[in-house]
Amino acid sequence: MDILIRTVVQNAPLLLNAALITLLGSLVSIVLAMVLAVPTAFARIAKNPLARSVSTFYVETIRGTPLLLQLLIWFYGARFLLLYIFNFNADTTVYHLLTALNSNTLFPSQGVSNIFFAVIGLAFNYGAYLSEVIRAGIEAVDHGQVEAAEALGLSRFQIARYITLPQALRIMTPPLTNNFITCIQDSSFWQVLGVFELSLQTFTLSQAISNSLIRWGLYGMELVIYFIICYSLALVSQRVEARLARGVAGAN
Amino acid sequence: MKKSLASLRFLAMFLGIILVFGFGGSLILAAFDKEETASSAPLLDFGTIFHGVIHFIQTLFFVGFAGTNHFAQPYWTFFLQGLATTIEFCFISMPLALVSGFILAQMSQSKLRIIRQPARAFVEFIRNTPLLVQMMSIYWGLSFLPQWLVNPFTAGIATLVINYAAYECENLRAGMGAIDRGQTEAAVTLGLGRWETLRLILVPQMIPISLPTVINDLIYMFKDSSILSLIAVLELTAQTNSLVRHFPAYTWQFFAIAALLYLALSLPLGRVARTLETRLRGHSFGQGRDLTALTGQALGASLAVGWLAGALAVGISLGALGGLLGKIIIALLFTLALLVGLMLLLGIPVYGVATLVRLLRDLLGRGAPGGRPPQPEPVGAARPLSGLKS
Repeated sequence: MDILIRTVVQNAPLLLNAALITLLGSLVSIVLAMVLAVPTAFARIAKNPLARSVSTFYVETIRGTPLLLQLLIWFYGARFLLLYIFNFNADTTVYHLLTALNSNTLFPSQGVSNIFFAVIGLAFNYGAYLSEVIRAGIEAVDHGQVEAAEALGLSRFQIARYITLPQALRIMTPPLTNNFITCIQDSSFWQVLGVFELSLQTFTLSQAISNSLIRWGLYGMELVIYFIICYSLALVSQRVEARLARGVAGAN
Repeated sequence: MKKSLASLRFLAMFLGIILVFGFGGSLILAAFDKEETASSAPLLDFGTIFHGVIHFIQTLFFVGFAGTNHFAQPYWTFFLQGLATTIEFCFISMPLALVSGFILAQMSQSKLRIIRQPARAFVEFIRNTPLLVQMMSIYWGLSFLPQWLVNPFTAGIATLVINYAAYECENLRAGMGAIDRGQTEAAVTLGLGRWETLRLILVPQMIPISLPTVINDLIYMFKDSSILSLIAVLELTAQTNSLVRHFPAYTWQFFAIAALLYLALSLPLGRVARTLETRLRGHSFGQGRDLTALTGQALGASLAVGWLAGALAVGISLGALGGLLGKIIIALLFTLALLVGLMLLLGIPVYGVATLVRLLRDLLGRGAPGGRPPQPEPVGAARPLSGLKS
């Protein structure tokens, strides 16, 4: 018992550091996913057949294949594509960027291309899922309102900005926060690319330990960290949901 | 007319994937060529790309139908084996997850806190931790158990069942919550027992509400089973990855085939779910058919499908079938033990803390004797009586 507590306490800073990577990485990828999702959602309900088919292709392909396969495709396929054709190397790019910022001592020794493609892969995956959420939110707004706005002479951008999006946002908030929680959970897939986030860090630490009880202790700690992050987010999203519902009731 | 359009869209999707992957693969090939021959030809030339795409499609057919590895085993056998293993895991885990999710849903609606709180704790814990981490901690954390109990097969089944049981519990609970409470009360008034109420009244109405979500979850499980490649289950992603490692020249072709296989199963299922969602809305098909028995048969049939797929992946023989059955039974027992153990491990502390909090509140709050807040008068019940009187 004593050695269990000692191991857990010794390894806690490492695990918390790794949890920070998990959190920051999934935050970056969810922001990127949002940037991808909004145009995709508008393209899916557009009248232009080219935009519609391209976005449908993107969404259906991503939603039909597993995230693990997509990450592997990004790392073992798209990385070389970008390298050979566009001469794009994530490592050198980030290194030059950090050199320009006078801080290339920050550059990790094993490179950044794995975390770069992990974030990109997760962002592309969640872009498709979030675009479906946004599309559902936009379509839930009554079409008569859009027609009324058109009749009033608002431009399409104005309709989106003042009529559709504010109402859609209210409908979209619960599924969006849900997706953010699952995004944090799915960032554990990054371990296949060798990103040292929480799950890979725990795995590496636990493989060096022969005592099975201590190994369980490490895994339990990892599960508890994930649970604390995700459950607190879930509680916050419940509060936000209740608040939004109250706003609707007050408006009516 | 509409049907043909849908199938056209399907075909266009597959063609699009082949083109996208072909574009990527051909550009890489062209870049290699350019580096080797030190030519200064433009890479994004139309002719180069056209040639590359045609070449890609050619090699795709080669990889898909004719290519073999060093031991003269064709590539497609690996893909088929992987696909069969994926289907095996899904179709064994989903019925078990549904059954345990149903039991969890019943438990979380119980009036007794000692039954309700462990189930809720279990569901919340599982839903808020990643599937991958659960799998790792089951497979590597329990590695002190003997090999026949914890191996890739049992650990994979246990992970999928435990994770999806929590999600199915929420799904079925939502389905049950959508049914009017008055029906249960009416059943009680008619003198039906709890089991009869469940079987004759709740389940038949729950099925149309929950079925689309269940099929969606089946698609999710189909995709999520790819993580089993990390604990050495040789399913589709693992096979693809090993082929890519051994024959890097065909990387894009292998990935394209894997993506096409995944899509070929998940897109029709998604369409089925969408159709069911629109068809079944507001239906409760219960007349003349015992839906609960039908559901049981369907679950058993899908278990059998998984069993057969597993036997196909191993190779059909009596020994393989029997061995698979034994493995499934062991996996089932292991899953059950884990489920109950986890529920106890999480439930007892939660129950203890909740009881303590209640006790403290009773001690501190003098306003509500007996620990119960004053119940407001039921509004709906009073009204018809006064209406009758006047």
